[in-house]
Amino acid sequence: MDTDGKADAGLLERSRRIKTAAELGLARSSRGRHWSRALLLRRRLLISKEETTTTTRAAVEVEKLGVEDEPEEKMLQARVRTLQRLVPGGEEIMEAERLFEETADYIEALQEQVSAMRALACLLHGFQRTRGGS
Amino acid sequence: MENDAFWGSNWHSTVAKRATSMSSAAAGQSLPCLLNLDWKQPPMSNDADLETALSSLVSSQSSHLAASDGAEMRALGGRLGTICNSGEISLVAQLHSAHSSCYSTPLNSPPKPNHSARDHPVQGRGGFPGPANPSPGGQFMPLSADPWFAEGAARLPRGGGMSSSSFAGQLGLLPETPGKLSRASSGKSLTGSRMGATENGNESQVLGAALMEMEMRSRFRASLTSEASEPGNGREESSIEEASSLRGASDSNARKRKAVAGKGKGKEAPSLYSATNPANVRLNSLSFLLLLNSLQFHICKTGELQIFQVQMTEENSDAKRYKPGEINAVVKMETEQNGDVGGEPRKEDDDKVPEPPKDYIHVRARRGQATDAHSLAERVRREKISKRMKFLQDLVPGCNKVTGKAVMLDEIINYVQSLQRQVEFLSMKLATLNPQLNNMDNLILKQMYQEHGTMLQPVYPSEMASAQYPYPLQGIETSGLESQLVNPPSRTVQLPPLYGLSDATSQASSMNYKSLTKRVLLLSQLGDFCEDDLQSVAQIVFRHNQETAFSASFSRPNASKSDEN
Repeated sequence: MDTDGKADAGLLERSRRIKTAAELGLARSSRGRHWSRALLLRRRLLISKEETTTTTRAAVEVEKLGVEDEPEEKMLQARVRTLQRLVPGGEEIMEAERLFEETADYIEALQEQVSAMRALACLLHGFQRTRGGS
Repeated sequence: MENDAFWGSNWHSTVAKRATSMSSAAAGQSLPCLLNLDWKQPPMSNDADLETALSSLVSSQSSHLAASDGAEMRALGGRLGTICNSGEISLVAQLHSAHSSCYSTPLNSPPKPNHSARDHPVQGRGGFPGPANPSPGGQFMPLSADPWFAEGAARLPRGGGMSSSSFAGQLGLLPETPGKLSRASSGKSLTGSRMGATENGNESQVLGAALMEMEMRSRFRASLTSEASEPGNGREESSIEEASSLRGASDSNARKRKAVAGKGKGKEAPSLYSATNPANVRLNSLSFLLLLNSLQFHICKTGELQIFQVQMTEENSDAKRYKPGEINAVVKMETEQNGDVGGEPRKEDDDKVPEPPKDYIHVRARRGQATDAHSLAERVRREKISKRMKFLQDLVPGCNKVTGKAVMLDEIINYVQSLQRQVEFLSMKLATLNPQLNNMDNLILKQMYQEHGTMLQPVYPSEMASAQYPYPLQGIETSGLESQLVNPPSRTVQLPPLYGLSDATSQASSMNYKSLTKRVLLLSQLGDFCEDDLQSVAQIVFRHNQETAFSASFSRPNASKSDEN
């Protein structure tokens, strides 16, 4: 193959492409979910070379989670904001329950994606071993 | 021949013959023969039995299981129980690298499946989020897959034992395989449920296990595959997928490998994906009815049951999350029949009198709580949130013991981050493993397709049709691995123009084609013995590359795959 530098760059590029492609597939597989739409939107933005990562970042969730204590509330809010950042499209979700819904769906989709990719990697790894051993 | 060298002595003779015949066959029709191995094969030696059972497991889905649901599944479950018993490690090692000699030791000597099954998750966990290096990753991959397959195999006996009326039969099956399952699924949720079942003390735990079983089966049936369009196929595939998804979570985070089951209380049995097959829905609903009945008998009528029933009826109205299906109807019927849950918007109703559920989300006011409109709405909101959090708790492995929203949220955040990191790591690994693979979206889609059933159907034909795009766009729209597997640019005369790769990749394509040919061959052989999603990958590839690809690939002499790269 190429030199290490080139190989690494190519590797990174490929892995990034694979990752985005996987995300795309993931998003397409769960149609109608908010996070999938946000993911597709984000990908389209990236493709068209617009790095607008802060589309609606200001829409932070405001509602309280039903915990009465003030410091607990703040902690919970902080965590909820973190979750918002993790889940694609989470910043636009205002209500906690919607956010949790999207989170659950996103987690399931991620699990499936991981298992699919892992299966693929296992398969290809098997091939590689065979090729190396032949 | 090279094939024999791969599998060595552990290959089942019939299968080996078929494999070799397969590799030399020119038609794609022999592939279904290979995949449809008769799983009622005569008993043989231990290893061979494992292989045959597994091959029959993965191959019989397309043909046999549809015939008789209960009996064959039970027999299959029995076979799988033997698999679990007698060394799933060797089997999985065989799966992943039967052609490699480094796994000959576990292959030949599976003396202590207990310890190795328990050790492997640890190893798998430790090794998985490592660098994107194929060889150590490859070392860990089969190890990490061990509990996966073990779980998937372990779950099948339970799923097999469940028939439409055998709720007690399912419970009876639970003590049947405690030993096996405790071995196979150590550290996972099954252990907890099994222990609860065998101890026979905590009925709610048993029912919780049954509920989890229920939910998993509903997930199984919800994810019917399309290739065989039969319930058994989807059941097994999604069971493996389910187990693999759970394993995927546990592999990267050791502390999350705790018991998930035992949720006899607020468990939501109809999960996100309600069953699509009417037969399975009926099965589902029947068992679900039984479950509900037993729940109401055995679980004390505290607030939890109320929440549970609130969840049930809320799902009738909350169609965003749960696809409205017959499950919800059944639930509605059940709750109406029991007459226990009910209510109208709590503007005026504030006592515990049950009423039939309407379209509104009804909440039962507990004793001593304020009942004005504002606080009622507040309480409704809070209960919704807690319900979602419970669902998330079920999703994230190892979160039942965690109480409190903050810690729960922390766990969820960690889990999502770990999953995302896993995706990144896997994409890096795939990039190293497969230099030709440029995108996987179609492949992943098809994986999802296998799991979700018909959801992806509108997407897929459009992607097949869009294969004529130039390469940069094609990288997005069309298949990655598939097109590379199929398309020899030097031989485009035979292949349909659907999979036309542009000249960007045609340079190394001749060499790639050899490797791809080899891959196709290996896929055809691995497809029997790999897990369901690998087989689904293989079947995906084969389904779309049937005659032309095979004739193109097999027209080359087998000596061509001696060595490349």
